[in-house]
Amino acid sequence: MNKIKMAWFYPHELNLYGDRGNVEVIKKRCEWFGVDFELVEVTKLTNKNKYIDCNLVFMGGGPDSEQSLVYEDLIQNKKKFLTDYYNNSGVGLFICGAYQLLGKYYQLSDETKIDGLEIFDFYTKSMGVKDKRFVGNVVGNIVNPEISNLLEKNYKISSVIGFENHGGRTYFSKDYEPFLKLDIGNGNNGETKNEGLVSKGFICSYLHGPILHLNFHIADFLIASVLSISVADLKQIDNKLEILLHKTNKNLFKR
Amino acid sequence: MNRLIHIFLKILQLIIKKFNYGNGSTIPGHIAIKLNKNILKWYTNKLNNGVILITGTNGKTTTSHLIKNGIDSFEKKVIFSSTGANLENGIVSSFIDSIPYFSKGNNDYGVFEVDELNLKILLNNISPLSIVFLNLSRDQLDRYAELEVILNSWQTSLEKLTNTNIFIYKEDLLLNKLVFDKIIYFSNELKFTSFLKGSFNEININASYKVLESLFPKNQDKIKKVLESFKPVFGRGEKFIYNNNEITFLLNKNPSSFNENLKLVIDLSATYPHNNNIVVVGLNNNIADGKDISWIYDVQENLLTNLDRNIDSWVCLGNRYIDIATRLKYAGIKEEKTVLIDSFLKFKSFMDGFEGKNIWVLPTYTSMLTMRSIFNESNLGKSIKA
Repeated sequence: MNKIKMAWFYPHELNLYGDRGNVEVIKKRCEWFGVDFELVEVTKLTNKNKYIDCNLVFMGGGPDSEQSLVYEDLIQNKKKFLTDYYNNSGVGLFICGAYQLLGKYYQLSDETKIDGLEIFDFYTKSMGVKDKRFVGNVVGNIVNPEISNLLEKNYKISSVIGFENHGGRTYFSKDYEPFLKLDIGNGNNGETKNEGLVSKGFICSYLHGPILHLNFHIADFLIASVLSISVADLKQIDNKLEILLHKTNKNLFKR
Repeated sequence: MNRLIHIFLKILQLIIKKFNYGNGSTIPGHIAIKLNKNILKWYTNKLNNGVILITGTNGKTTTSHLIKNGIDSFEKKVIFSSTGANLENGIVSSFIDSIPYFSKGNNDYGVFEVDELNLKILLNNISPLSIVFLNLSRDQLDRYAELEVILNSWQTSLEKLTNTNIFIYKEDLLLNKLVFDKIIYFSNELKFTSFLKGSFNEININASYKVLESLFPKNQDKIKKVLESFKPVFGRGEKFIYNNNEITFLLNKNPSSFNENLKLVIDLSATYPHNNNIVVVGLNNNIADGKDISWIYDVQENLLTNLDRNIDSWVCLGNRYIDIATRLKYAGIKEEKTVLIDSFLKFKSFMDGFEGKNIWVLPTYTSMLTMRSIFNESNLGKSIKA
């Protein structure tokens, strides 16, 4: 198959800190690779038939008020689709609030628990105003050796950079593989230097930036994963600007 | 006691200015508040008429200048923060500067722009004559909280007020949630012939008109005339001539101002030949700009590509210059049309290579300060005085 059909969940409500840029990066790179690209914006009203055959899912973060507007629809109408999609090794990118919603629950600062999609056995605690938000630049390295080696071999880059801005602390109840080990930044909970989660076809991360703007190699990894090929098999395109961006900002963030 | 604090800080302000430690626009006020956290009330009680506050995401500086100029034209005395310092310490510093050592002075109004999150701090202390709410949209969310948090803090503050005139932009959906006894709405319904370009400025002018009309009723013609004679200020539509190039600064603070600036430059650049237009985007991420630059992806892509048709090249500057170049690439702008300049110093020699061009500079706040100083301090360009 040589087509990406990307389902972007709740583009209006869950679109904070330029997360829409991730969609633009996938779209443009597909165009340059000569890969057909179709985007479906999934809202509360979208018929399931429109996205059931998608092969790339993207969901971003949103402010609390916006997140609550789609929460009910997500839990009631999208849970089965996303759970099956994950179990069938579908490829997806989940940023910040979307990442938190994949877990068991989200605990508000007043101890109320909001159920998540329960695809993963982790929970997130909001610290409210009791503790500081994690805001700032992030530099880390990919934990999964297979992904790390693949990207190192093909791009000479296995680091990931971005900007985090979250009040929630995420704790794993199971032994999941984090997405990144951080040199700079707080990541999941500020205690472990772990950031995000990688499991089957899902990459979950707190990183905005947008993440795929700062890390084109992750965009390529997602595209290649959908097409069931190696990044080495993607058409050669000019990445000079993207490499310069990643390396320059990595140094800037480390300072 | 407050009088002693005042005298002490007036002397300090004098020293700061004399020995060039700064312009004294924030530090004296900062110390004054430390010594008495309610000192602003003492100061505002010295005014014959009262305080006018202007807040919102975009347009604060321009609108406060418009209102100040308008009041000036009625020969009333205004205390004003000309540097645009918009936190409480900046406002107190303006009072320290304007109130005499030993008397209450003869000042009629205070006109101040106020940072969105600082409005509630001020309203804990003072009860203004008028507050203008211009708009509310995303601005540096790494620094500010979510919009609802700001809106709620405004609503809570409003509930303490009784005799204040509240001016609200009618078309802003968020602002329309604010509830108050008497709200005066403004829109862009009144048309003005102005040096200030762009639909956002029409709104700023309409807001100023309504405020001035409330202060000086039955003087509509005079108010209109004063507003129409107003020239752009400090990087907000300011023009410079250098090497026979016309350079226009349009401050880019957030997605909405970036979008508005793009719309404006699309219109203005269309009247010149394509190879005559150059756009310079200065993207810094210092604290005053916001550390997070992801907002460049919240800018409307079609505005970037529409403008691209009118221009010869995009110059990318600032410590995040590669980010803006990449953003343009992913908007579909050809890489050959972007010029990457990694330091502001090189920008000067870059400018020497051009003559007779229209240069549209879209800078974030700190990159605006740097670029402006290149033209000002080096005396290279002749500023068209605002």
